[in-house]
Amino acid sequence: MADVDMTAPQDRPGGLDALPGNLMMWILIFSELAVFGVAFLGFATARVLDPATFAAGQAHLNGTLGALNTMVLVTSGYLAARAVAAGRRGAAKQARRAMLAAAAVGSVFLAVKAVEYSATLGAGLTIDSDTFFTLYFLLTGFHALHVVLGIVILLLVSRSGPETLVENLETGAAFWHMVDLVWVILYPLVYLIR
Amino acid sequence: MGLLKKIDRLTLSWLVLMGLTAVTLLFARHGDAGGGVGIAGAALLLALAVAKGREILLHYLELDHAGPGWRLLMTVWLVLLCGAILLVTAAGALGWVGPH
Repeated sequence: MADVDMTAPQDRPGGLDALPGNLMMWILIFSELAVFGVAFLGFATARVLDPATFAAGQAHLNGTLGALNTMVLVTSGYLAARAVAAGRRGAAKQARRAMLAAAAVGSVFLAVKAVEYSATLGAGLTIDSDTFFTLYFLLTGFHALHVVLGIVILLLVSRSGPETLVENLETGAAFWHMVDLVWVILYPLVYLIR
Repeated sequence: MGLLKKIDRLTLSWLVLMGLTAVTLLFARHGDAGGGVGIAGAALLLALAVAKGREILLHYLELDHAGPGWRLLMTVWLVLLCGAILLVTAAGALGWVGPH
């Protein structure tokens, strides 16, 4: 365990200081999780009220691409966490490289999403088609927007100077892991449960 | 076992997340072929989501170092949300609520 402890976060004091990165980011994370939570419950309820429309809509989605995108996001999240660990070790160069790699892998998510959207839109299915596609485009689009923002944040924090590097890496990674967390619930809810 | 000892906790988390996603891939193949999952399938999928979410919360977001209060709060959010989704889905599948 001794060699593992080097990359682990130091024991933090209690309360709000116990969370990694900047407190403002955590306030954002909590509000995002609350909003996505309510939206997911709304989606589940709408499906129960109109199961036929939702089943027909889901038949057009590609669940396999969704699983691929889950693997993309958790791999990118892993690289971001590695970047934080490297930053704490004092390996700034390695930390910046890992964060850039996390952003690069994250952009694969958007490429896969573009393939998915072009298939649905190409089939004439738009946000106006029915309740399912309205909610599908709103939820996945809102999430994809967070992926875009997340990638920008990862790129920005990787450019931090030595003074602020570790805290900024922690802050950026925390946002990125939230985007990851939201997706692991969104994916089965929208693509798989039918 | 020797190999497992060489893997640090973060890497183990990544492997667990990839493994759990591989299980959902089976559901995805089934669904893409036109199959449904039923209540038990929905329960399993949401349990997988909770397992993945916990891995992310504890080891990516480092709540394992943030004290029991934060761990409990975030785990409760995750379990309550997935539990509520399952409850709504099951109520629909069982015909308790639905279109008239």
